[in-house]
Amino acid sequence: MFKIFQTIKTLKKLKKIEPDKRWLKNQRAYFTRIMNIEETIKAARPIFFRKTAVIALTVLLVFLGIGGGAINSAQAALPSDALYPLKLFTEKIQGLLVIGNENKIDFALKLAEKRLEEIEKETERNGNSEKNERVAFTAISHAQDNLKKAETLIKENSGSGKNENENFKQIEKALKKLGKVSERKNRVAAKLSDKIPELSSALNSLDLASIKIEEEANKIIINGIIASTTEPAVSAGNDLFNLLKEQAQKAIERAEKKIRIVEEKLERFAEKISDTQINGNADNEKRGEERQEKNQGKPLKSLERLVQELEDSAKKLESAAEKLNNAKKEFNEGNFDKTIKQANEAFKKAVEAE
Amino acid sequence: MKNVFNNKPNKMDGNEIIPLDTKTQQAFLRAFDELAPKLYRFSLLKVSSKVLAEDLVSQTFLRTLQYLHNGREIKTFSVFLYQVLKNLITDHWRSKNRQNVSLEEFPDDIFADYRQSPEKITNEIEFKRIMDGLNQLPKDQQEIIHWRFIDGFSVKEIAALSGKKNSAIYVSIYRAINKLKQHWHV
Repeated sequence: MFKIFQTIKTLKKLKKIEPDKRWLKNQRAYFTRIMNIEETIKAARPIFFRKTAVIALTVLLVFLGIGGGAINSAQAALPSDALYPLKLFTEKIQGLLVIGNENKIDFALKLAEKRLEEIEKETERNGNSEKNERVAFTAISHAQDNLKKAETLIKENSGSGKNENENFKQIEKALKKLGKVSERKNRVAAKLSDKIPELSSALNSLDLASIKIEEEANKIIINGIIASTTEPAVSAGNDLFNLLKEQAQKAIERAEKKIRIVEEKLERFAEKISDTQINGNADNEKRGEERQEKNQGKPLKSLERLVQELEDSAKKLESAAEKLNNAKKEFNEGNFDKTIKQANEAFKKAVEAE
Repeated sequence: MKNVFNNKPNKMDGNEIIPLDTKTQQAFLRAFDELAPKLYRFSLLKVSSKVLAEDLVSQTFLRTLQYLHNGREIKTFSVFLYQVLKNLITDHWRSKNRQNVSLEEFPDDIFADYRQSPEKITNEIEFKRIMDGLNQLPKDQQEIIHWRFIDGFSVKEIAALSGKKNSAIYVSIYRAINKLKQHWHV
């Protein structure tokens, strides 16, 4: 699904082709002249002034409450509502006004959680409709954008030269918020993964985006621990050490859970394949041919191919389990940074297997 | 075209200009503001020359204006303008007895025209990759994809532009995206 978004995004790059502004202006003037129109020269105003005026007016509208009714109603809007674009717009404006990296990270994560919350609410309202499926994919894509933004902000933060205490507070806050996003994601997965199987790969990409954030956060934590060997920062170092340990535990739990889910899925898949093998008869073949005709002549996946895919996935899952074991060993030895690395690799392998 | 700014024109290709009513004039200018950049982009990607693309867009609007001056009405400017432009592009290729040239055969400096865009497509390799993908689609799918994702037209508008049904447009978009997906990402 995300490849489709990527494809469209690639295509949209051609939007950057624009005509020469002078040529455009001259052409317009030419046609105006031909038609004998004397236009009032609006364009004579400096662009800067116009832009500033528009921004100022928008901010006034949003924050001084003119038209506040619509904006307030929009805050409760869900993706399928008419007022939803207004909600996204006001969020963008709010985002521009957030000051400080810490608050910006918090805001980006808050929006990611909000998008996932909207999927839940939309499901409660619309059930398992096709519309809801579309809404879910769009919302996940928005959430992923917000997570990427948070990751960039954390990266920027790591080079800001703040002391360990400040870093600890910021990272702890960001990771707590990220934990809430993950909880929300798990709830969405529990509610929708069975109904919309394609959604699980989209949700996996959210997990991978979260891992990237954690990796950035961990870099800051580890740097903090290294810096804290000098006296005044020792207590901050301890806090950071505990935070890293907590992160390592979470990474193991996440990988374990994923491996379990994929294992179950593969078992179900294997059962289906063996059923097909046992019950395979002429009727099945005939049905297969009919389906192939409907599929415009494209061959359907053969049984051998499915078995091959199953074997590949099983191998990947084995490798994931191995990495998870390594992670656990590292954890017991107190190497929490290595634990996180191994556990995250295990998670990624499990996702590949899925 | 070049001397029009020196003398206020009162003739167009030998025909007396019949003044247009204000409503039509405003509609024409609105269409110009909204569609000229899109038509330019459409044309540039077809003819690969900035000067030629500008000339084709100018001629498109000029012919449209002539049509209006003949006392005829245009219901949907976008449909009309794209049709005129497509005819002009076809005439251009026919008149010069040109052959279809593949992107590989273009001279090296062909991308200079695209680089003059204010926002710039900075990476020529990236641009070539996009164009390679688009060129492997059938002509009608290329146009539909262009209108949908580059010009941002709705499916209903594209149906009007291409003279096809909404459902056919959806199918074309789906097929084209799948082909592009395979070409670019697999």
